[in-house]
Amino acid sequence: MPVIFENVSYVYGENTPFEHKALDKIDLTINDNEITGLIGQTGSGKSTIAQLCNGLYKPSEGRVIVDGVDINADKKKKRDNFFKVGLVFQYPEYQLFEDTVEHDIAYGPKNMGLPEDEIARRVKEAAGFVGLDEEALKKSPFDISGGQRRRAAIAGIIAMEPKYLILDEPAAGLDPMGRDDILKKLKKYQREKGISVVIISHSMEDMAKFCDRIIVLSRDGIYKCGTKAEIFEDPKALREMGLSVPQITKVVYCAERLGVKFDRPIYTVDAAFEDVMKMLDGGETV
Amino acid sequence: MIRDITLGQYFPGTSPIHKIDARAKIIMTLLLIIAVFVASSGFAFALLFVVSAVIFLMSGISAKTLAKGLKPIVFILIFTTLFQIFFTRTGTLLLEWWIIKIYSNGIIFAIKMFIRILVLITTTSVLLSYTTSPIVMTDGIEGLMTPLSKIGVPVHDFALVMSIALRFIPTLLEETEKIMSAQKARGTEFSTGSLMKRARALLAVFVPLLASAVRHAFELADAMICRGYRGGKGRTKLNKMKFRFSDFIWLILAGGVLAGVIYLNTVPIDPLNMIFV
Repeated sequence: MPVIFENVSYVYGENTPFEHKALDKIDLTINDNEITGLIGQTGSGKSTIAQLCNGLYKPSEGRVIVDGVDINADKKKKRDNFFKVGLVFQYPEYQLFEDTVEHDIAYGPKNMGLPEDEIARRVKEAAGFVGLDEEALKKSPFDISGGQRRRAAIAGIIAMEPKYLILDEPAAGLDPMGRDDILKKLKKYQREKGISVVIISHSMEDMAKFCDRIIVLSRDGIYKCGTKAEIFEDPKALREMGLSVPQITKVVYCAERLGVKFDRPIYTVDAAFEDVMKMLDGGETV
Repeated sequence: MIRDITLGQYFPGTSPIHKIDARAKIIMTLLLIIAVFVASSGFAFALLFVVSAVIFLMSGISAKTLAKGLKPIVFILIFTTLFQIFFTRTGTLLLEWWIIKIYSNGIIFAIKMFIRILVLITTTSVLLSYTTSPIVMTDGIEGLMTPLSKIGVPVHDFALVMSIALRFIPTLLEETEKIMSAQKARGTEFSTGSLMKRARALLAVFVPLLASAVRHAFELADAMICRGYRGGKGRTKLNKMKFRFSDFIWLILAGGVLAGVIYLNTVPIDPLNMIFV
């Protein structure tokens, strides 16, 4: 079942001089079994949406429905919702605290009250998904590299085996190799588990490469929800919101004006490369 | 939310009280505190009450704000007042019921204690916290302590440490909030469970918080070195504090209040004593 926002508003610091409306009457749906990308400028409310999904924030107005239930209806079930909707915060590596990486990954499952052997199985599996080896698991989280710490933090949430996994800028601050690697692993994880994953990002390149569906947020609410083709068909509107189509798509537009014909819309470098190679083999020249 | 706590409770403004030099304000506060503790006669307390009321009215701080600031001491105020009333056993017996005996001196001491605490809190909070920004305050303390640097006290470093501490309170609060949310999302419960469980839950916040505080410290130190910081020697200020003639007058007034209190203590008639004659 999907995550549904019904007419949701969120106001920070309600009834104080610092009152600030982050979301205004938003409707959105996060589908099952796909990767949804959430993109928007700074201050468009991406992180707020993330924290509304798992119930850390309570909407000032409207309802957030997960698995057919309003998550804020029953206060006692609040905690279950944290386990159902796993949330990886921005720069999650700064929240590691246990003596070893292994214990830190086990922290969430332990809070769920799972038996020891189940915890051990989950820790092993989660560490495998993010690519942490046995040696790293035994180390202190303060002794491993930044990229590894990021993986450990993500594994800590994956180990809770949430039905919905939300990641706020999972690749921010990593080098290009690390970025691609972590996003690829998340995609693989999603495909294997068949769960619903939401990735919040600034990068259209990442969105185009890894997401099945994209939600674009502007400061006035949701600009568009849809497939890549639907989102990227109007580059001008995106630019007005401080966003843009992927760079390779721009290059392809220019190439098409020069007379090169691509037989599908291009959003990733890999796809462009594949098509160009095909053209060259076919003897076509620019 | 934790973030909403106003730091130091400074309210920007342009009242005469706001304009007093921070150094003068600190000395004035000290003089008035001494006066509050020296005061013993009813006249002296009346004078102090009027003075603190005038300072409060001149500052333009709303009564609501002051009341909010006084809230935490209401309990102490009531407790000490009642304590004085019920446990003083001198003067004439006014009332006796079961084990409770109330004497005239009890009432008098209670009134004095009440005014003492009220005046103390009102003057210090209006003069220092409500009308002086934390940064100016630090500058003021540094200014007053400068003579100590002659005997080797690291006054500048001390002031720097203080302003950095003030600067980082909101940052660390924000960080605490973030870490708490992140741990909550992993199922940490901060307000339920046994004492051991709660202590462990707090550990999940303090360890990352401490780590980030240390990280901030190193980053800040690096940034300061990169910008050529090398201590207080030869350092000039962007906003130089000026001690004006009016500040001098304020100091004399505060000194006058202290002198007045000392004088009024010696007046043989005490209006408070006369109530029960």
